Amino acid sequence: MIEFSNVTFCYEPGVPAVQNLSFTVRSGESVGLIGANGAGKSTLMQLLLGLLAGEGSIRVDGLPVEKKNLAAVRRKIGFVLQDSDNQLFMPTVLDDMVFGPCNYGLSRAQAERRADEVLARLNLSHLKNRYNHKLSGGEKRMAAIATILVMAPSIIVMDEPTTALDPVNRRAVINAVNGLSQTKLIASHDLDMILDTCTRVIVLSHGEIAADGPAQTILRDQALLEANRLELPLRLQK
Amino acid sequence: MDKLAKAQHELRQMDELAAGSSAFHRLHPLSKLAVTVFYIALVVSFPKYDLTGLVVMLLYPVLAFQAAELRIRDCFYKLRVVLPLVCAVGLANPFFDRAPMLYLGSVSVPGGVVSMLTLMMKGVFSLMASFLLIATTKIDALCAALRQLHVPQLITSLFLLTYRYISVLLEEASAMTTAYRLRAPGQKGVHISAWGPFLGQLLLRSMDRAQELYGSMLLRGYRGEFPYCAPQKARIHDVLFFVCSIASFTPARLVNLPQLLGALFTGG
Repeated sequence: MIEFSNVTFCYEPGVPAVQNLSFTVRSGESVGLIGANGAGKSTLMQLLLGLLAGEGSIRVDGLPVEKKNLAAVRRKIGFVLQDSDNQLFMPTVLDDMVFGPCNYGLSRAQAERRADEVLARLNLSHLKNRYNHKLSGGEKRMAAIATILVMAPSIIVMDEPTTALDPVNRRAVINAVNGLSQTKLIASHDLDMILDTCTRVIVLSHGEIAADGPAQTILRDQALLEANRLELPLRLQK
Repeated sequence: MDKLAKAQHELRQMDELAAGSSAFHRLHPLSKLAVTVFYIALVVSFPKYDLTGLVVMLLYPVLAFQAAELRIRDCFYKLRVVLPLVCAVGLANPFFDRAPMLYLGSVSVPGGVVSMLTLMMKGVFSLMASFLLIATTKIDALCAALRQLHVPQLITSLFLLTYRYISVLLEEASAMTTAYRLRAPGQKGVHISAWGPFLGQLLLRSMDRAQELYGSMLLRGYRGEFPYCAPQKARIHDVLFFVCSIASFTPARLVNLPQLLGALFTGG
């Protein structure tokens, strides 16, 4: 469970990037985070991960996101970055996959076993020993997701998981996301993907929550979306 | 492919070489590291006129390249930037040391030429041995070996992160020069007037990316130590490799083997 309570953060004094944010994401829920550029989506995610510290309170499964709890909080959350190149920093997919589990105390052999399981589940076993720099964009994205799943997080946070992917790879990512049972918080401008993967949507505008409700309702509300510099998902456009 | 992209490609090729599976690759990193350090120390310690004694030391890199299934040609190609610098070190010697040292038939060879060749060979052999080590040992395994030698964690982490940062820097520089070239047709390289902003942007961009990478590492439990660098246990052949190498290098340093063999055959 994720709880935001009156969270405010400013990059510059007096100019809040997020302001008085309060919402709760229940266990197992899949929540889409949408909004125009600069609405505060990335800031919100960084606050949740403890990469930024603001005012108010953020709790993850009851644990306050504070310096002393960061290790425990981050162990619960898997974060898929927008740019997979920034996520994959080791030479091979396997090296990258064992990095997290080994940091959490698993032996290399145990971590490799876990990596094998995750790769098999995502039908990516063929990527295991491939060099990261030789992967295509779609393969990199799937490998980045695998590096997160191998840590067995209870919450998955994704920043634009389908950006710059061709339709087939985009569909593969959507299917992979739908196959995950964890709590999910997905920030994206791909509203069709949000419609496919999320049951609830939070609309951010100028750092505040403009709307929060069922995906099917919010993503059909043309006036609301347009007021927030968004458009109806392509499949709902006439 | 531009020069930066090529450099990036070559750097990644080193990772691929290090992931090989030859017998030499499988040796314990610590034993390879120790042998390399010992070899370089011995090579460097040869007297400046001991050209014939030094030649014997070429055997180690040549044999080891065979065992590691590496091509010596690749080594010289990758070291093409450094090699001329190493070779240039002794270029002034022939001008300062003109006393005849040896005679090839009726031609006298000055001491400066001999010491220049010795210096060049020392540099080349040391580079070959260093290349051999990094082309057969993954960088994280090398760091693990350094940790076993009680090198502080701060230094090994810094070494590893610097190595990774070079790729990031090259990627950013390559992307920026491509963007520049596409908007500056006919220009060779980056114009001097753009150097300032170019370097500034490169630094900022690479720092941003490095920050993102570091964030990604932190989110996966990184706390300053690379845990996958778990020390590998030394096996009997690792010890044998170390002992045999030391046992072969040391006599080569103490006795001038070519001269000894020559004396045996000529009865001199």
